[in-house]
Amino acid sequence: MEQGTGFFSFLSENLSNFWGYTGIATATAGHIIMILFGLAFIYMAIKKNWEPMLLLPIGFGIIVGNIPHLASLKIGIYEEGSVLNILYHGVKNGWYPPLIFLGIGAMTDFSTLISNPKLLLVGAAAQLGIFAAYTTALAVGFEPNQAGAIGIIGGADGPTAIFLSSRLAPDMMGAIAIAAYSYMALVPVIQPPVMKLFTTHKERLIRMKPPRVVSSNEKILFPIVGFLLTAFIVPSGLPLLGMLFFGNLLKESGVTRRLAETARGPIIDICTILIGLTVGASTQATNFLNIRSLGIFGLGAASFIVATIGGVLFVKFFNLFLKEGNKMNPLIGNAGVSAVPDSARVSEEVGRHYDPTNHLLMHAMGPNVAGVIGSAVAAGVLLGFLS
Amino acid sequence: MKKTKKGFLLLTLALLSFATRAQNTFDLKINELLSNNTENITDDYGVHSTWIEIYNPAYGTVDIGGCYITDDVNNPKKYRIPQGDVSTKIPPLQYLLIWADGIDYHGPLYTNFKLNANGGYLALYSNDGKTLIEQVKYPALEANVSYVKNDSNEWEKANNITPRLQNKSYEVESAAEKLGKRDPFGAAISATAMTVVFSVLILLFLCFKQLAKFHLKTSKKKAAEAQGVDIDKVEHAGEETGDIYAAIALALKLHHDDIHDVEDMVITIEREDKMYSPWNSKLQSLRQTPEIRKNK
Repeated sequence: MEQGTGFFSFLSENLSNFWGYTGIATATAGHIIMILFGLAFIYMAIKKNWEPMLLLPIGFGIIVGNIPHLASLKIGIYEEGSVLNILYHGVKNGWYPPLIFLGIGAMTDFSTLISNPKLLLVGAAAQLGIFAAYTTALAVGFEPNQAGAIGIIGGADGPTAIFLSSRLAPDMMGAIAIAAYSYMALVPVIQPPVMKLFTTHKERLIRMKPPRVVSSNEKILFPIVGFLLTAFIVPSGLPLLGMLFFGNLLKESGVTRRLAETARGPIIDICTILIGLTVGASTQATNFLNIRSLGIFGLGAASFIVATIGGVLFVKFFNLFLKEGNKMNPLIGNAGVSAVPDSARVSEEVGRHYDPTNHLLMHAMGPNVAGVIGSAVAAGVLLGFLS
Repeated sequence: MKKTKKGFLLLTLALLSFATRAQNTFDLKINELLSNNTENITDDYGVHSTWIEIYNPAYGTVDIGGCYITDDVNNPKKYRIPQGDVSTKIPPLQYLLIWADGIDYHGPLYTNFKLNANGGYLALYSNDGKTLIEQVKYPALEANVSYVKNDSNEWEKANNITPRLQNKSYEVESAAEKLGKRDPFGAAISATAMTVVFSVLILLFLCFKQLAKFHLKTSKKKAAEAQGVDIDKVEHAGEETGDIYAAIALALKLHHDDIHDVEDMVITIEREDKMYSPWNSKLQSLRQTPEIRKNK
């Protein structure tokens, strides 16, 4: 009888201990809120189809990172040696973003940009958002390195934002990455009103000269010359620019088809999965649910808007110097914020809303890819100054 | 002859390896010393011994074993750091602490002399005991004040003692902090960065504008050669847009479809044209089929 009692008390003690280990017993309100965030991301990815390849892994990552557990289990993303922690090294040490850039380079066609190089300048103008957010962040009390990391959200380039924030403000990287990817997903919502506000009806109807066909020699020279020029001026942007142009050379050389396919297929897919999942998992309630994150989100939105305004107004300004027939449609200015190819798609959609036969997609791809180069250069400059 | 070549090769390799080794140990720097230790870190025996910090600025591990360290200007071989011990290997960009406690049998990183609180001399010699790697004359130091090499490679006293760490690691302001003080509103850095971004992209723009011009010129030249006319008479060569190419491709496709006669399930009336030769003539090479005559 005593043995029986002993057994049951042992059993209940074990069950009680086990209950203490479960996530249900250790959950806090913060965990639940973060899990709801994750579910919202998954909803946006599946139902709204907003950047599903990014929002789905991030959303699930948020849930993974916010399942409550005891630190002694050594399974969390911040516990040294755990699987998630090992995968997180790629984010923390900035390995994934350059590999993603390699894939982006291998899938990007710079033809529009080569045939109409002045579109490069639109990509430069749209980087204004980065520095507007930087100065505002300083004004509201962020440290210069934190302000730089927040500002890069305006570059609308997730890998660049992760790369720079991992270098300048690692503790804010989760919030910055979430903000950057969220706003990239919300490009079709954020940009059109701004584009309409800063353009006239007549300007929206401008038809652009179709781009000329670019020779293969020009396409091969672009990544080589582009890399040499940008890397010599901004060596701190080397990891991103080097991989971007290298990927593009693999694509355009015509002799490394298999390598290019690997770069734009398996490599970028693997890195996107890992970066999304681990960035999501790194956003834990304790370091995410605070006023600072709200500030990051607010500044991020502002930088996106300013970047869009910068691009649109620059095209209008540039048009003052262009002859009739060579003028650019200001609706492609928004595409300078990179967010490839969503912002170019927004240009197309808004343009077709006013003239269904006016296709701006190809023209908008120019500033769009120029924005990728521009944001990588801007990140390099900030890294050079602030690290 | 072959033996001479092999010998020469081996000698070169030996010299190279020696040179590499010599070069590695020459990279080493005396980085900091504490000659009056009363409250700073203790050695493995719990004693506040004086110590010397050696820095390896190279990107490869350097073994200090075999080198000599001395406080006597006339005796470069005063203490030979034992070879073959793992503790004497300094990883790249790392620091090694050598305890100057005067008791060399305490271990490979314990010298047979102590540093003098009233000032003195310290030198590091290569493994030949003759080649000087670095030397320093240090002044009298107050208790727990170290003598360190600063960013300008000059020696100075420091209250902030940094054993096994970069000197002044706690005093140096980060670049971001400096920038925050000099440019609190971020206007200067924003203007500079935007200028750089624009400069880079303007440079790319100019470069590819010139490249486009060169491309158009080459295209015109080729078109002129193909048409047999003067280059000035060729217009728009190389400026063709994608839709022109698409139209040409479509026309070629239709043309080829029209002349295409060998196609599955299509009956053609075109005569089969084969080169005739008596050697491949079936008629010549085969026996004639016998005629079957029917009796009427």
